[in-house]
Formats: sequence, C-alpha cells, structure tokens
Amino acid sequence: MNTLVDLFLTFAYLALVSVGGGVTILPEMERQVVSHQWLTHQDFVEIFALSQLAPGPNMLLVFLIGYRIASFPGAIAAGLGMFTPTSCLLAGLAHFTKEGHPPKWVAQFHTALIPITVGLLAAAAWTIGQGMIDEFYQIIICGGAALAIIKNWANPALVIVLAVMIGVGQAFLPDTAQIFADIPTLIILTLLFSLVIALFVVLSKKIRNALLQDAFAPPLKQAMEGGFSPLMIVRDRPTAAKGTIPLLLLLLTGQSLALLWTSRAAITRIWAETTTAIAQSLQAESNGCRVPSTAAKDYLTYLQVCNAMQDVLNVPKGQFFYGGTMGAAALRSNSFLKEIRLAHPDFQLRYLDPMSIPPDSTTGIRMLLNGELSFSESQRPLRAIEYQQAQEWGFTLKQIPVAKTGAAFYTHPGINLLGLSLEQLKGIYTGKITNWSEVGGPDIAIVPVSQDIDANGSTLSLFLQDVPRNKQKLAGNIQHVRDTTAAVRKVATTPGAIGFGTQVLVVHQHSIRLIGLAKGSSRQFIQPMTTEGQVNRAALANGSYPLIQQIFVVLRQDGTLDEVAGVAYANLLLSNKGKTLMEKAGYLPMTF
Amino acid sequence: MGKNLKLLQLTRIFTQVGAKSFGGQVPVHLWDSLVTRGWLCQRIYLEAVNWSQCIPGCNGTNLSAYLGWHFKGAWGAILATLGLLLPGMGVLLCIATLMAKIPQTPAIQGVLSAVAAATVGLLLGMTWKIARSTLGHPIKVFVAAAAFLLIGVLRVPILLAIVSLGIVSWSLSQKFKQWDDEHPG
Repeated sequence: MNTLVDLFLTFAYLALVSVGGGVTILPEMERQVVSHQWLTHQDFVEIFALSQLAPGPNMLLVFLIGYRIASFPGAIAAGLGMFTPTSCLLAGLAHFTKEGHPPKWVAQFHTALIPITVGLLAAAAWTIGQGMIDEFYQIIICGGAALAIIKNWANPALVIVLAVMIGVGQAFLPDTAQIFADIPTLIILTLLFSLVIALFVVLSKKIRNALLQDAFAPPLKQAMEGGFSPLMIVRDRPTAAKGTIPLLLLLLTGQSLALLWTSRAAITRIWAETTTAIAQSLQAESNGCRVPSTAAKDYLTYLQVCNAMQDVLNVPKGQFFYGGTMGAAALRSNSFLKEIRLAHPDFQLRYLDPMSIPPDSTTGIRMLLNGELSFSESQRPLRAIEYQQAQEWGFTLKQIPVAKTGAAFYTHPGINLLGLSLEQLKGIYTGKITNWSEVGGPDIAIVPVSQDIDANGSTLSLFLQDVPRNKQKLAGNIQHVRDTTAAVRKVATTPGAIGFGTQVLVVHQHSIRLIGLAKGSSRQFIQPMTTEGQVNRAALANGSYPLIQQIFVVLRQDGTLDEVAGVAYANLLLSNKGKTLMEKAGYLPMTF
Repeated sequence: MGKNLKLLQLTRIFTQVGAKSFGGQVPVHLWDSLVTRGWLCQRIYLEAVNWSQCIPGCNGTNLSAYLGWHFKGAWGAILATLGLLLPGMGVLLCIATLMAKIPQTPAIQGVLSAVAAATVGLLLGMTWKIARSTLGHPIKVFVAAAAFLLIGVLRVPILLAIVSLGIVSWSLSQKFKQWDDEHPG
C-alpha cells in the first residue's frame, strides 16, 4: 500500500514540475526511480524505449514503471499521479476562463522558461544515452534520427519504425561490431537503409497520383484543394479502411501504406461525410466562432477564415465604389479583380480616383465620410479626429487590417549610399540636413520629394511623430508630387533627389536606387528589397524593417449594404486564395 | 459551436488519436480530427494548445482535459483523457506482460537498444530545433547550458534547478527587454 501512495506522490510531483512538457522531466524521473531503488538505470532506459513503440502521449512510460514496481495497481497509481493533477487544473481552466489565451504574465513566464526547457531536453537525451549508446550502429541510428528530425525528412513515428527494423536485422547478423567496422558491408547497409526510405517516399507519391487520375478523382481533388490529403482522410477514419491488413498497417506505420487497401467507395464516402460536417459546422457556427484570435476581437466579429474566395459568405450584389491609398494599388490589380469576379460575378468593384487631389489614405477616408465611397483602403490607422467626424454624422468607422507592407526610400541613381537612419531621414525632411555629404554621400544638395502634404501623411508621420507638434514643420525645399508614380519620375530625373513609396510599388522600378533604412540613429541598414529583386518580406515578418505600415480596409458601420460590401472585400482578401495573391504582389498578409 | 458533438463521438475521436499518434504528436493529430473536420474553430483550439503548453504536465493529456471540458464538461474531460491514454497503455501493458513471459532473445534486445538510440537522436534533433529558434541571446544559451549541467550531469533536484534558473532567466529577460526598448536597433 505504501508503495502505491509513494508512486502516486512521486509522479504527481514530477507532473507539477514538468514545466516544458513531459519529456523535460525524464532526467528527474530517472533520478527519482533509481534513488527509490525501484529500477536500475538500464531498466529505465529499456522501459522508455519500449514506451516509444506505443501510440499516444509520450508520458505513457509511467504506466510501465508503475507496472514493473507494483503490477497493475502500481500502473494505475503512477498513471493517476502523472495525469490527474494537471488534467484537473486544465479542466478547471477551461471552465473558468471560458475563452481566451493565457494571460500575458503566464505566457511571459513560459517564455522565460524556454531556455531551461532546452537544457532539460538535452539533459533528457544525455540521461537516456548514458551507458546505452556504445555500439557503432547505435551512433549511426542516433545521428540519422537527429538529422531526420532537423531536416524534416521523416516524422518520429517513421524513425522509430525504421529503428525497429534495424534492431531486428542486426540481431540476426553474426557480430554487429565486426560488420559495422567492415566498410563495404557498411556501405551496403547504408544503401539498403536509404532504399527503404526512398521506397516509402515513392510509394506514397505513387498512391497519391494513382488516386488522382482515377475515376473517382473529383471528390479527392476537391479534398486536396481543401487542405485534406487522402492519407489524412483515411487516417481520420481507421474503421473505413477495409479489412484487417490496412488496420494493422495503420497501427504499425501511423498512416501511409494503409491507403493501398482502402476501397474507393470508402474514400468517397468519407469525403462526403467530411464536407457535410464542415458545411454543418459553418452553418451552426454563428459569427463568433470563425474569429481566430482575441487580440483582433473588436473588428473581427464578422471576419471569416475561408479557403477559396467562393466560400466567403455574405457578399452583396451590385456595384460598389471604393478608393484610398496608392499603397494598396497592387490589391486593385487585375489579378485580384479577376479572381473576385470569378468567385462572385455580381459583386462589382469600381475604383474612384479623386482626380483633383492626391489619392492617399486621408483623401479616401474623407470621401468615405462624405458618402462618396462604400469603403476605402488606408495605409495608416484612423485618427481621433476622423472618428469624431464620423460620430457627428451619426455612424462609426471601423478599420480591418489586411496586410503589412513597408515604406521604401529611394534616391536618384547618382547618389551611392547604402542607407539612411530614421534620424537622418527626419533631418532631411525637416530641413536640418541639406547636403548628401552630411550623411556620407557626395557633395550634392538634397532634394526631398514627398506625396504627403504635411508631417501627418501616412509615411512621413511614421518617423516624424516624435517631433513636437509645434515644430512639425517640413523642410522648405520639399518638392510635392501627386502620387508615387510622379515621385518616382521626379526622383529619377532630379540629381540629388530622395523620395519614398510603398515597397510593392517601387521595388520593380529601375530608374531609381533603393536604399536601406536603420532604426533610430543606428547603422544597421535593412534593405527594402531582397537580392532577387523581391520585397524583403522576411524583414516585415520579423519586424526588423524600420518603417512598417499596415493596410486597412476602412468602412462605415451604419448597417447599410456599403458596410456589408466592405466586410466582404476584407474577407475576400483574407481568404487563403486572397492571401496567396497578396503574397505574390509583395504584401505580408495579416494572420489572426 | 461544438456543443453538438456527442459524448460518444468525442470519446471516439480522442481514442482514435490515442491509437494513431505514434511519436507523441498529439496536438497535430487532434488538429486534423477536430479543426480540419470542423468540430472546433482555430481560435479555441490554439487557445487550448497554448494553455496546455504553459501549464506543467504532459501536453497531450492537458489538451484532452481542456478540450473535453470545453465540449462536454467533467465527463467530457475524463473520457477524452482516458480515451487518449488507454490504447497506448493497453498496448504497452500487453507488451510488458508478454516480455515477462518469453525469454530475452537478442532480437528483442536489439530492437530495444536500436529504439533507445533512435529516441536519443530524436531528442537531440528536437533540442537543436528548439534551441535554434529560441536561443537568440548569449544569456539564454548560458541558462540552457546551466540547466543541462545542473540536471543532466550534476543531478540536482529539478525543483531547485528550475526555481533558481527561472528567477535568473526571468530577471535577465526583463532587463534585456528594457535594454531593447531603450536602444532600438
């Protein structure tokens, strides 16, 4: 009896200190089990290896340890200790938090513990490996397994299966040490090993292709486009696999080969069931549930996460005018409009150019407020004064972020400069720096070009925001232009000129020279363009690019068809198809 | 949403995941069965995974308890967790009983040592992958190395090591956050 209580308490303690998931407590578990004199180190490692042969969570070895110490009651006691305390905790959390991510401090605490987790994982490898890996073939297996995981060659299940095969194989060979010391045999074995892997890969590809060309291809094709793989479908329903052989294979390999024996009718049936289930859940699920993150809660109440553009619900019929920033011009290109037209022929979009004034974010929002547009695209967040104006008109404004992009700066090709810091840019646009020699360039006067009419413009405000309001005077020598196209032309033809524009619009311009930007007054320049001539989206994604802008769809919340059209447009852009198109255009689509 | 999932269906889904998640990728398999099939939206699933990783304990059963409760309350949590554990436990106890009965052949020993070697490799691979993406700062590398030394080599009790290193890591990360904020770029 005492042993059982002891087992329960020991494993409950272990569960509560396993801060980075189960595997991290392996070293401590070994220490406890050995110091209690329940098992030897060798036993522990054997039990751990054995537990890897079974499916399920990776802490199942506690059952085996308990079983070895005190038979079935021992297994139950150890299992209860390992799994009940934290499971109760989690169930309680699910009950009390209802919805929402862990609070910030929990997440921060978890992040602070990550380096320790890494150390613990290494310690786990060390503990298991101690006194165990002494033969040459084991070192090869160990290295191969590590490589397979790092390079994503195979999933852990396949690695274990291959290890089992090698283990059986080497037992039937006369003397393993001798064989693995013998180079030719080693080469043959390595070849055999790679042959097995290649067979797996080729076979699964063959199966896939064969299925696609078959008579019942249409539902499968649809399934694959919807993100399902046939393997996944069968794996989800092991019972659908006909007979015992596929079921056995399923248990052995986790997935793959079972498909060979699965009947076509079964796949068609599963796919039909799956689509119905999805359709039902989409219907049943009222607005709230397709919202993917709490951070975006306030505007996302009506956002959907769709795959294809056709799947977007609530797309109104009719003609809608929209406008706004040049920075979103690539979103209005033919590739987008064609896709939208294909998916929703009755949803007609017309871009309204404000002819007399620059087509920027501010103009778009003003036109939206005046009712000239159904919705608008903006390159900067809404301002307090705009919200206030909307309130006076009796409605509210809403902004939905759809993508990220960056503001790129460029010079006349005659200026050979690696980059500028934001401090230097501030100096140039406020008139404190007037000659390129002051920032390490040639002795030529600087001609700043701007499509923003004042320091509040969507690009200039990004780095002029911390200049005190009363001093927000732009340099007197700024050449104002209407839009990015005009800015590029101006800079290309004016010696000493510098201008800006949204990355996607300027990276393919060859008449100008793009320059890197550095935060603050540092010299760590981040280039707006990769060496292949594409938008440097990596720097947008990790936030290292100094001038990142968000593209918003701005709409009036007034319950009219205009609002529905704006939401539908945002949802079309944010569908997986729309995201792909945005990526192709050089934007970084928002993910929620 | 998701409330229309019957208790029996819920148990079946978790038992199936328990039976097929070799190599311990429970969250991946559950994603396929719950989110891709439309029983659960991405947001709630991601929240659940987030919680189950932030709280100590085995991630798989943490997740099953959270989601089981989310769908069907106490019975849901119990059945989901049991469903996840029982297939693997059954297989293991069968193997263990069998192995106690039959003599230890070289083949069985070979399999065990090969699998042990493979798991060490898997653990190393995993360590490397996580280390590469998270240990950006030399201080973090130091903390990881200290954790390895304390637990793996010196065999210090884990609670002691985690608390002391946790405090060091936490205070240092706060310091560096401050430093980063003050020195942009």
